[in-house]
Amino acid sequence: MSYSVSSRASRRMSWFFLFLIGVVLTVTLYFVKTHAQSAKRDVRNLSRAIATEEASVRVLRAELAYLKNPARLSELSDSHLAMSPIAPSQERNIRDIEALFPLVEGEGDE
Amino acid sequence: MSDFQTFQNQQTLTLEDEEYQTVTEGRIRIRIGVVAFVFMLLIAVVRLAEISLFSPHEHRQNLPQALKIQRADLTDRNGELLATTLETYSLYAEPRRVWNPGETAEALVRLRPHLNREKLRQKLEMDRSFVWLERGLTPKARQAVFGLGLPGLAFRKEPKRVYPRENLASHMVGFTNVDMVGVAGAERAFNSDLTADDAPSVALSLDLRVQFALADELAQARQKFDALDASGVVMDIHTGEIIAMVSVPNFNPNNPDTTLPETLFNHAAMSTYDLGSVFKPLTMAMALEDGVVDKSELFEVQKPYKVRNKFIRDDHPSKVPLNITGVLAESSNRGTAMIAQRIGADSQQAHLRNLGLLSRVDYELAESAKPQVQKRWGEMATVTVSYGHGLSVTPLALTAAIAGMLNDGVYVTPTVRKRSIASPAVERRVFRSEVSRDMKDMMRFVVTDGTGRKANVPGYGVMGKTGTAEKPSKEGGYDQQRLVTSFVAAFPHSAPRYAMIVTLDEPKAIEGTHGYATAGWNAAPVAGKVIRRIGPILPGARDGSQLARAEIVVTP
Repeated sequence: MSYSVSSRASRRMSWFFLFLIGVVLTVTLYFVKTHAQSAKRDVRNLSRAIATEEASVRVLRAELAYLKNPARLSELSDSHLAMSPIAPSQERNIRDIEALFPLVEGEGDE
Repeated sequence: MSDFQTFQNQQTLTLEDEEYQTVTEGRIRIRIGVVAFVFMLLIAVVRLAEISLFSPHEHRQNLPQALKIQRADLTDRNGELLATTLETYSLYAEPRRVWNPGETAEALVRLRPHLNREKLRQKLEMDRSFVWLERGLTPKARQAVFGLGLPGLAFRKEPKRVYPRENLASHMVGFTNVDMVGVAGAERAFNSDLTADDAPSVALSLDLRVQFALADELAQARQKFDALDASGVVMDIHTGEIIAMVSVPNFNPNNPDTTLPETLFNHAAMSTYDLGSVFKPLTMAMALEDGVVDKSELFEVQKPYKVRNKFIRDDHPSKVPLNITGVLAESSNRGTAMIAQRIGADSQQAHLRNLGLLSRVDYELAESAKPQVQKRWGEMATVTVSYGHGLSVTPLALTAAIAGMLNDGVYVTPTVRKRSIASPAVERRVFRSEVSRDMKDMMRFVVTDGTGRKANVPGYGVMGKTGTAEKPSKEGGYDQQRLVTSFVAAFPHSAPRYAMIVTLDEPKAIEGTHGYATAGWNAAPVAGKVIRRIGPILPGARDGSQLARAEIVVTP
């Protein structure tokens, strides 16, 4: 069993290339994996941040509802504003306006 | 020579053998080394591949547990928040890691004064790895505990139900137990809707502003007239939506354990009363529906009237005969009795059943009392029930019946949920349209010219009826000192949209009521005050043409 020098050399070359491809693939896999892991970590951090924000939104909404309690609002309105609900007697039908406030002669547009 | 040669050959062979052996041994050692090296390398490669290709599971367990809010919000009809779920922090200790229980307890009590130092110390001295110290702390309180820098104390996130409106609408909203399961009010009624996955918030029929106005006026009235309790309901008669339902005293649902049990009771839906004359409009409607009374016919109410040897008493007897409108406006028991006898027991019961007054109000809340109905329904019962004695119903049930009578004669089952496609109204006809229209006018007359004058609010076309009933006494019969006064109202007269009731339990006569504790002196003015406040808020509450609303301008 004898084989030529050239066939032995080509065999070595193909082994070498296979090895090289293997190394390249391993390194690529390593980088892809690392990248995916850091992306996953980012997602985790983001969802945690979102959950925290949502929780504080809920707290703020509850606080707002507490501050908007009608009893508190009416107290504040009484002390700071001179406003009250419109009474029916304060309303007029637009058709009655002319009767209520008749045009005085000489004050018209013409 | 040959011997030498042989010897020489042998010598050479021996020499060759030794060399060969050494080389072979060396080769074997190298091979063992290579095999061992390759084996080790293989292990390392396989492990590497395993780690990089198959994600390790122990990694996931280290993730922070995201707290799942499992209970949706409750809001009023305008989206105002009534109940929500917040994250709170619950403090626990790992007693084995606490190095000085006494000092730790001391420091905690300084921060949280309501905790018991002795109990804390006992807990911290326990030979356990976990013990709760306090549940439901705010983020601020948590930070303060962290600030102590004590070992063995830690927090766990827990959801907690929070009611930012506190006492307001507490009976309608209800509350949950420690495990976040609804045990009262809407929290109980809509428990499954609220706990479904990604459940949207549930809107109640309630209008918080109206609820506040009613609650505020009832609380004032209860204090003013020294009543045991006061309750009220405001209902949209078209949709059956309960816009407000109040029972005072009320409670704070944030800590239901610490409130008095009697405050948890929703009198508007759980207390049955003989409500008195507020039943009379229903009797009149029955008579008109059955066609047993003519509107112009006069009843001889000025004379004493006997049913089964018992005189029917009128508090303020009329001096002249009255027609059906007059009987209602003057609230004559005699006149009502005469009309009831014509209706008869069977027809009366059929009408009452149709109006939902002989069964519990069929709405979402569990808080709904059955009426107390007499076993023997003879002629006397027919007469007394016609003016609201001998049949105990809840204020809510009566409001719904009156609402049905005025809603063009169509009864709508009440609801505490905002009407939508998902919860359509359930309707049934109880009276003819003409009867409904007549009753509208008659109840308006009660407020303009009859016993309900103090409830009149200009601009809202208030209709109504007073009702004063004596409570049954322990010795049998009725106790004239213990009254239940009510005012049932509806508005506006032009197109009835809202029905309401105000009920005071045992109000007292006060200065300014001339010694009277009857409904015309307490319940009616309270109802008027409520309408004055809620009228501007509610759509369609103004009397007169609703279409002209856009043309209306405001004058100073």
